[in-house]
Parts: sequence; structure tokens; C-alpha cells
Amino acid sequence: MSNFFKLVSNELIKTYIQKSTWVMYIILVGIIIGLAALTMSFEETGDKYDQDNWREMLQQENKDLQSEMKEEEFMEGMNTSLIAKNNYYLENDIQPEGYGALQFVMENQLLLSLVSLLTIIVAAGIVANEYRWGTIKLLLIRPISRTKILLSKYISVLLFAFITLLFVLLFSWVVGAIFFGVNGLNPHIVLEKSNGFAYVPVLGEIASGYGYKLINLFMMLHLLHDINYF
Amino acid sequence: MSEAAMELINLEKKIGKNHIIKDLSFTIHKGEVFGLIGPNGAGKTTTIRMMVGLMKPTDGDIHILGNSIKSNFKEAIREVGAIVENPEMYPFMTGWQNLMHYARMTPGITKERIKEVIKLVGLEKPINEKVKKYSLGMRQRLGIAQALLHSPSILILDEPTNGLDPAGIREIRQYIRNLAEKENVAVIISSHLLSEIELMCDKIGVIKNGQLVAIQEVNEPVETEQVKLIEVNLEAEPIEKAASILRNKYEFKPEHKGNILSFETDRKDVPSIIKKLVEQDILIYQVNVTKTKLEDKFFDLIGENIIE
Repeated sequence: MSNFFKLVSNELIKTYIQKSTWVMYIILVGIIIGLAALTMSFEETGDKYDQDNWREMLQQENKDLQSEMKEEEFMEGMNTSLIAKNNYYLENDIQPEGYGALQFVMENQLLLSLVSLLTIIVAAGIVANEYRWGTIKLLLIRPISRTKILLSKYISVLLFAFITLLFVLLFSWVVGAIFFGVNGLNPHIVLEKSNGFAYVPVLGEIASGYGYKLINLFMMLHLLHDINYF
Repeated sequence: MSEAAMELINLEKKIGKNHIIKDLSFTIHKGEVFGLIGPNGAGKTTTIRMMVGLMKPTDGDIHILGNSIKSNFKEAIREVGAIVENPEMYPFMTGWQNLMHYARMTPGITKERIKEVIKLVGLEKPINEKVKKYSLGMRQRLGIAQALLHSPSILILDEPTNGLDPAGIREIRQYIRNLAEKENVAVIISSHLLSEIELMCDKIGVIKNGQLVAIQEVNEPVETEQVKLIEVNLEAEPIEKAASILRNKYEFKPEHKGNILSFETDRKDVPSIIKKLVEQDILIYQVNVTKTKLEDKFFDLIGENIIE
């Protein structure tokens, strides 16, 4: 078993020594910081609902949105859902919480498709490159079966996906904390779900969102690995 | 003869319609350096690929220290260290990282062993540089280091001196001899450089069109056949006088190669011929004897190099 562990660590070492892997992470860092900067400049993120007058603020916001809708028709769809969301806060008498690091992390779920892409790049190269470099011969003349070598590569790709996902999660949180501050341990927000609006904890959303994407990713990798094998 | 390290038993390989290896059988013993020579396309690399399990034989078997490569692959391959074709390594890793990588694949290799091997192949200085900066010779050395890591009983080297400078070739040659003689390792070398094989090997197998044409012990005296003559090259002055003496007294047919006379004679007659020439006031600058009959023999055996 320790032998197999060593094979997997071999594969991970090879992956992370390569410059192309570092470039992937640099791209991720750039995108996350870029997203934070964009969010910062386009959305009013401060603690504007902190005061007791949050109800008036929400109503004022709705009025602004409605007048904007009359001027520019294409804003209609987005603004209607924003108004509906604000109304939900008002109807249920929930004070909206400010935008913080965890909200930013939640929004960065969309980056997971990029993580999938990067993982597929790594997965596609992990066997093919051994042939390209000619090193496959030196792998196969060890007292280790071919199946084991392929399995170790598969596991290491899964680990790569997992590490990258964790990196996106943690780095988003750090960047979010720097840009927007930490806003409570587990803030709640109103989100539009399939059965209307719901008031949900952000952490739960992060867990389920990232979790589903991870399963999706693993499924894709499994398919890719099967193709690789044949 | 000592214990058999590797046995090839009626080995056959067919790829599609091509019959690449035809009924190849031979045995390599422990402590023996075995040279595999043959023209291009003779099946040297195919044979080596089957020896290390990269290709499956169509028929027949290979036994490594008694373990069949077909049914007992792990036990068999554990005793083998090899370079197949070019010494390819991960270009983005340093020499040390490459060796660590292979060390992790076989249990029981210590850092001391890795350092020992690096010292053996003389790569102490560039070991922490990336392999993509290595010259071919340095990569070859790293390849040999990789093959030696787990102290195998059989070392298989495909063109080991390829890309090495003369000093490097000499070192590797001495090292290979040392391995065979002191550590009783069986070494299998493939090459098309006859002189190289002749200097390194105890036994030579000649392959042609997938068949073993001959097995030749290197130190076997070449004179066993009817050819008892050796070729003598003589630089003398005045050259014409020397030539006429040779022609008249010994009935040789000396050939002029510039200011060198070349003729064939029996080895034991050489001193008396020289003495005679000196007595006739001929100045002799150099005498040398070409002993390499292996090359001639090789060409006798393989004939023309026709890839079928």
C-alpha cells in the first residue's frame, strides 16, 4: 500500500514541478483577484443595510430599479428579479446582511468549470506526455503492473482536482476577506431557488454548490480516464 | 560456467505478417558481458524490448534467474535494470529529482545508494540541474544511473556509449567490466559499433533478420580458422628497398599505402623479418599489427546489410 502511495506522490510531484501547472494557478489567482475588483467597483457592497432604516433603503432601491427599467428595456429581466428579492426581504422582515468574503466564495462557484478545464488538461497529458517524453518505457520496466501505474495516475488527477478546488475555495475567501471584509461566521442570504425564494445560509450553499460540481468533475474525469486506458 | 542469469527459449515475435524474431535461443550467465550486434533492422531492439517486458513474445519464453517473464513478471523484472533505446528522462526535473522518482518505484533504495550511483557515473556536479540542459552524454550517464539504482543482477543497455566522449566511453567500459567481474552482474549490451563491443564483451551474439547467426567468445583466438595470417604495417626507409627484400626473400606481395608497406604473414615470423630488414640498413620507424579480424568475421556472417 505504501508502494502505491509513493506512486501517487510521484505523479503529483511530476504534475506540480511542471511550469504549465504553475501557469494554471497563476491564471486562477488573476481571475479571482479580477473578479473581486469587478465586484468591488460595480456593486455597492458596504454595510448599507446596517442602519435601522434598511426598509426605506430597500424601497428606495426598488423605485430606482423600476425607473431604470422604463428607460432601458433590456434591464427588465434582471431588475424584476432584484425587485422580487428585495420584496421578499421586506415581506418576511429580514434585514439583509452585507456582502462579505463568504458571499464572494459562493459566487466563485462558477470558477469550478475552469477547474474542470484545467483538470482535464492535466488528465489528458498525464499518460500522453509519458509517451511523448519516452519515459513510459522506464515506468513499465519496474516491478509494478500497468494497471497500478494507470490507477496511480487516475488517483493523482483526482487529487489534483481536489487540491485545485480547495485552492479556489480558500484563495477566494482570503481575497474576499481583503476586499470585502469578513461578515460573520455563517451569514444568510435570500436566493431564488426552483420553488421560489428562500432564506438560506451561505455556508450550506457553498458546500452543496461545490460538492455537486466536484461530483460532476469526477464523473468527467472517470470518463476521460476510461478513454485514456483504451 | 556459472549460473544462468537470462535464458531465451525459442523466442518468436510476429507483428502482423512480419516475422521479426525467429526461434531465438541463447543463455547469458552471471558475471558475463554479452554483446548483441547486428545490422539495422535485425531485431536487436525488439529482442531487448521483449527482455524487459515492453513487448510480449508471440511464442517462446524468457527466464530471468529462473522466473518466467510471462507468468512471473514482477519477480523477473525486479532483477533487471535497463535503458531501452534513448535514455529519456523528465526534462523539467533535475537529475536528482529524476533518480528520486525512479527510486520511489522500487522499495528499499536509500539516499546513500542514489548518491553512490551518481558518483559512479560521475554526475555529481550537474545533478541539481534540469535534465533539459543536459548533453546527450550526461543523459546517457543519468540513464545508466537509473538502471543501476536497485542493484540489479542483470543490466541491459541499448547503445550505452552513444553520445559519450572517448573518456566517458572508457569510464563506462571499465565500469561495466567491473560490475561483471566484481559484482557478478550479467550485462547485455546492444551496439553496432564492433570495436566497442569487442573491447567490452566476453561473448558476442550476432543477429541477422531475427535469427542468431553466431555466438562468438571474444577471447577465442581468431586464428582457429584457416586464417593464420596477420596483417603487418611497416613504415620503413628506403621503402623501395624494403619492398624488394620482402618480395624476393619472403615472396610476400607488399602493398604500398603511402610510405607504409602492408603485407600478411604469420605472427611468429615478424621478429625475424624485422631483423633481416635492419641488417640490410633499412630504417624502421614503426611496425604495427592489425589484429581486428572480428570486423571481417562480422561481415562474413551478416553479408550485406539488406533490410528485408
